[in-house]
Amino acid sequence: MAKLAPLSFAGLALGLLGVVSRVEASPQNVLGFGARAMGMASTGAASAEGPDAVYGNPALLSANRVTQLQLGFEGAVFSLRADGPAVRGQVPASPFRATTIGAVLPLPFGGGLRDRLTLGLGFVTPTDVVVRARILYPERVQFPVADRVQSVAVQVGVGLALGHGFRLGGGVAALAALRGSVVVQTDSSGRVGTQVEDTLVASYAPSAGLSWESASGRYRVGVAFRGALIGRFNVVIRAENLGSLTIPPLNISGVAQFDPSQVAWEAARIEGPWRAALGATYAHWVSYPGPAEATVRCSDAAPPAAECSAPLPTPPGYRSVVTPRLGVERRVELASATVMALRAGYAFEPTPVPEQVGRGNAFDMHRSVVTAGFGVVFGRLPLGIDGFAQVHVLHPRDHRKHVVDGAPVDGTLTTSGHVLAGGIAVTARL
Amino acid sequence: MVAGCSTLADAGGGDANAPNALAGPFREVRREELGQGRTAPYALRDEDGGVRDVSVLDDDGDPATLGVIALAARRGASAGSTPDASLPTNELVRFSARDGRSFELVPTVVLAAQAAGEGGVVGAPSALRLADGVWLYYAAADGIRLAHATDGLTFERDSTNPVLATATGGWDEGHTPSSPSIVRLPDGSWRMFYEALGAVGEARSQDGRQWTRGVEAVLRPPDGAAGLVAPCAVLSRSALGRERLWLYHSLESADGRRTIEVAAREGFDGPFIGGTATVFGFGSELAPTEPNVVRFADFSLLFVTQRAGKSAAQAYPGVAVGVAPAALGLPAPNP
Amino acid sequence: MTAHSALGVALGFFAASAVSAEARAALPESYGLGSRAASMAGAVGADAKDFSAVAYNPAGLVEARGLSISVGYTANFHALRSSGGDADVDDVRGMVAGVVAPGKVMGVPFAFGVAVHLPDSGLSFLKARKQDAPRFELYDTRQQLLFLAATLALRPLPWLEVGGGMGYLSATRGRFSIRGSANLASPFDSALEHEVDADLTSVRYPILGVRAWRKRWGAVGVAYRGSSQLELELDARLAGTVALGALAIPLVYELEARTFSAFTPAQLTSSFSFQRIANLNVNLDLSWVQWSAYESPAARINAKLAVEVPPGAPVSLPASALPATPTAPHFRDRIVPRVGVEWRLPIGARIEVPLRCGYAYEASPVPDQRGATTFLDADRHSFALGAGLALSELGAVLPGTLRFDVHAALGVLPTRRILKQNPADFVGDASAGGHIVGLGANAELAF
Repeated sequence: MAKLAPLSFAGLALGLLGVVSRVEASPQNVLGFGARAMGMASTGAASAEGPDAVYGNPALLSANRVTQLQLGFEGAVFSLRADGPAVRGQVPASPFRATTIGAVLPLPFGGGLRDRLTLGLGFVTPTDVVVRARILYPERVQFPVADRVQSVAVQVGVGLALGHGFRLGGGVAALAALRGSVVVQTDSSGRVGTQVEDTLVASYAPSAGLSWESASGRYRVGVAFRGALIGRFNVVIRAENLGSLTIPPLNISGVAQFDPSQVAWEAARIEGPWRAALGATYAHWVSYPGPAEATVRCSDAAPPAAECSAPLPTPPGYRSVVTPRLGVERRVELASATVMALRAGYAFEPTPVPEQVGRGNAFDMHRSVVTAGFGVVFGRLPLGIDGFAQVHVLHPRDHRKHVVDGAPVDGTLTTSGHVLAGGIAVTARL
Repeated sequence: MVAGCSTLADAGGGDANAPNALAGPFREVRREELGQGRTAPYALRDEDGGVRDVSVLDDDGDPATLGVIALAARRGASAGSTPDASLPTNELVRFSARDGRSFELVPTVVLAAQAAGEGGVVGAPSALRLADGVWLYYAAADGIRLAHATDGLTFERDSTNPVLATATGGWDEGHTPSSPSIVRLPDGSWRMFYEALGAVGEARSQDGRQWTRGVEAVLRPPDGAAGLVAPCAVLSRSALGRERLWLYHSLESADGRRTIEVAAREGFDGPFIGGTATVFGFGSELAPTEPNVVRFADFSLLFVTQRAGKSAAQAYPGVAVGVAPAALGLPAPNP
Repeated sequence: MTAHSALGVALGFFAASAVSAEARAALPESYGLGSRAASMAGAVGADAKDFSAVAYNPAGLVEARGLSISVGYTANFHALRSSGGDADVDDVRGMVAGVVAPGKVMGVPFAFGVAVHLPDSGLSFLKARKQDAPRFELYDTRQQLLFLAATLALRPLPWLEVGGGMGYLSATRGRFSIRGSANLASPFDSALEHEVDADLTSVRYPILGVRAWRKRWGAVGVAYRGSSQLELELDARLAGTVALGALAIPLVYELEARTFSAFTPAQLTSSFSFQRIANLNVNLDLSWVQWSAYESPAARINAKLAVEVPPGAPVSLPASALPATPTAPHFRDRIVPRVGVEWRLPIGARIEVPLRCGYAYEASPVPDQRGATTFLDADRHSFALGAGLALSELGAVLPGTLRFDVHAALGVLPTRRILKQNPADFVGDASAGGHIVGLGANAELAF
């Protein structure tokens, strides 16, 4: 076998260019949740209706008094570019396709609880993935936005109408994570054997919301909190009893999916032919620990622990961001009590990712999100249909690479792109 | 009755509670499993005398306890000279261990090659513990010989020696048997397996002294192999009560490599059927041979004679230890 | 890392794994979903109208009179023994929950149901084992699976109900690699980093059912659930050099692992529920379970560690494992009869106490294990008991019904003897048997 120097293998890994992405978050975190909300720039903390409220603000579930079941489909395609000294051109990214299920279930208590409690369910199931876990070498060209959507969203919420215009809600979102082990060791026959174990586990994040609407019922303000949702990938490779070759436990670990904790606040007009929502979402990205964890950990060493110099991954240096959102809806009553709605929205999401000046190539840019949508509620049928389209413009961004910061060469790398998303959902009122 | 290479013990337990016949494959014992400052996997390693060919006996006949004694061969020093491990063994020594494998560092010499007919050679011991003491079979120049010790230390040669001499007929006619392994069956009869002509023969006896050879070898090397030597017979009873006679042996390949293999027969008669895998030493360059297996309640230990290491300075023999089931961790060494 | 003590190892560890995990009805099939179903040994295919109908026959959902929410917990304790020793099979414990929302669409009765069993141990568990490793294949890791399904039902005719839906779980596919330099003398000073490129992919499977009613007699039903299994494909490669002073030792480690696990067979169930006598339901289910489709769950693992160690170098390594050829398991299909009885004892106008019992017989699908594999299994007799308390019209706040149900089940596996053909078999003769104790409780709020 030809000798392989460490650096030569590193070079091989560097040469593997593919579809890459890094910080993954749930689809609702990038695109929004619910066909109506997604046509209005993912507003919803004060304006969500139907199953959209499971994510937008669970308190608003209590505004629904009719059982609803919603089935839908949504998708997104990505066009991402990186032009610089080491890479030039389009970076391929997998499209996103998902089925959606939403349900609103008013709980028919009587007495003091009459028309107050409503349960909501929301599922987004990508057609081919539940969670995409991509924790790539830092120098790989990668765009967080593409794979952030490649995750299942499982949400359950409950809303309570407190009276006097106040509504309170809470819920939980779930995500799948993976943990496992690969043990390479001398087996009973004296040969090198391998044992593999793999466990899927669930991780959860709480959500809560509060809203107040004016006595006239025309205006509402709302605030929603969504806890950090973290999906870890953790497979430990242990090589044991390989003669005189000692290899420490290798932790193939990292944060595969990360939704930062968020606070969304919003004011909305919720009555009349013109409806609108204006708000902002704070995303606590500063707590993001970075995708990769240390492969070799000093804590795995048997005591007494000697001095350990295993390197730690570079902190990602993300910053928290505030995203302003504006959504507008125009409702028109057609014949036979059928109501049609046209929607539009705009949001500007600053990037939490710092400029990539060194070895790292995890690129992200400010994002302008322009949305449009429609809805039809049929008068004679207990059915409704909603659709939406989104254009995410990724503002061009320069990354000034410096050798002194760890980049292989000096130079400027420019990234840009856009995302097109759309979807449709049918809602049945039972 | 408990004998080196012929312990009676029920199978069961071990390997994370999975069923296991405790017959192999064996893994090497680990550093933390071996006491007395020994270097794993070697339970015995003596550069001067080259201790080898061990026969291990459960010292109280109870498989639940781990105390053992081991009888081994080595090249002892003659007057005025230093031992030379490269020469044939000329004395048998006795070790003991409270944990089944961590033997004391200094043994006791129990038998030296002094009798006429032994030709200055004694080796390949196979010991059995009976009611009247320890019966010790060993190989010498004139064949298989027998000695007894009521206290396990002071051995007296049997008057019928050699108990199995050079064959005067049959498949191994003209050849002197070596590497004996003796078991006593539940009905009181005796079986001896021995090496001759690169194959394994079987002899039967009613008293342990008068032996009748079989007409054919019971185990021959497969096509392409150079030889099948150093048998070690072990009796056991399966979890469902069926009797088994295991026959461990060293298989020599045409290129000189050796591995430890096993075959077994249903009951005490009939053909031997080979195991499905090598039990020890696959891929090893240390040429293991002279297997010896002692069975305890939850695991078995395999002792083999192999090179003390891969370097030129480690060309002398040592006794390595393996354990089955391989997934089992041995109890802490004592001491 | 010093020149003398360090190993400069380039670790190129390339792996591609595909673990398709599927939440086929492992829990409903083996232990029952919800206390009502479990206490009738699962004989509810024509008589389930609560959330358990999602698993047993979704057509029954449309029988629900109002929105219902159920939550409960079940624990199943394995006391399975091999050759007299505890086989250490993990218990199966977890939360069960479900929602049923009935209504009408264009005048047609319609219902939507969701059911979940969330094991305490995780959503799924896969363990690749060697072919000759003895294991209780039907009870070990196979049960450590999420059950999550959503179904719809409607009643197009007054006497006919149909239902169907999907079960969900996830699978994994991807690769990971490691690079850098490993320090042999001081392993925890190794400078290594890794990358992961894996997808947990989604898996769906159908659940279908139909029921026909005749007033004052009862119902008959047929339900179908597809088969699935966990798959594992793992390819790994580690290549580099080991530096010993001036000596560079090439090293290559290659791994291929292929296995199936957690198979749940396709199942077709015919169900009968006799309700001729007031307050008494007598149910009989017959399930055809296609165990013959079981592929070898034994891991096919090929691993090779190649190091060209120069003579005299203080590095010794074991040999590589030989590739294993899987042996076809030849499992047999089986017919599983289940009988369940529910007697509802009214106490006044608002209280009802249902008493239930059930029995099921599951013949082992595993043939005699005389060769290379040792799949431990035995026939299983399941006896179940249960009781409930239904409180109706508890005041203005709760106009519906509040139900509590509990169950206890005992599964008895008479000892089965495993006689190996080869006397030199390393597993040897064995026996398999034991019992399984299941306990659980449910609360349901039905409006």
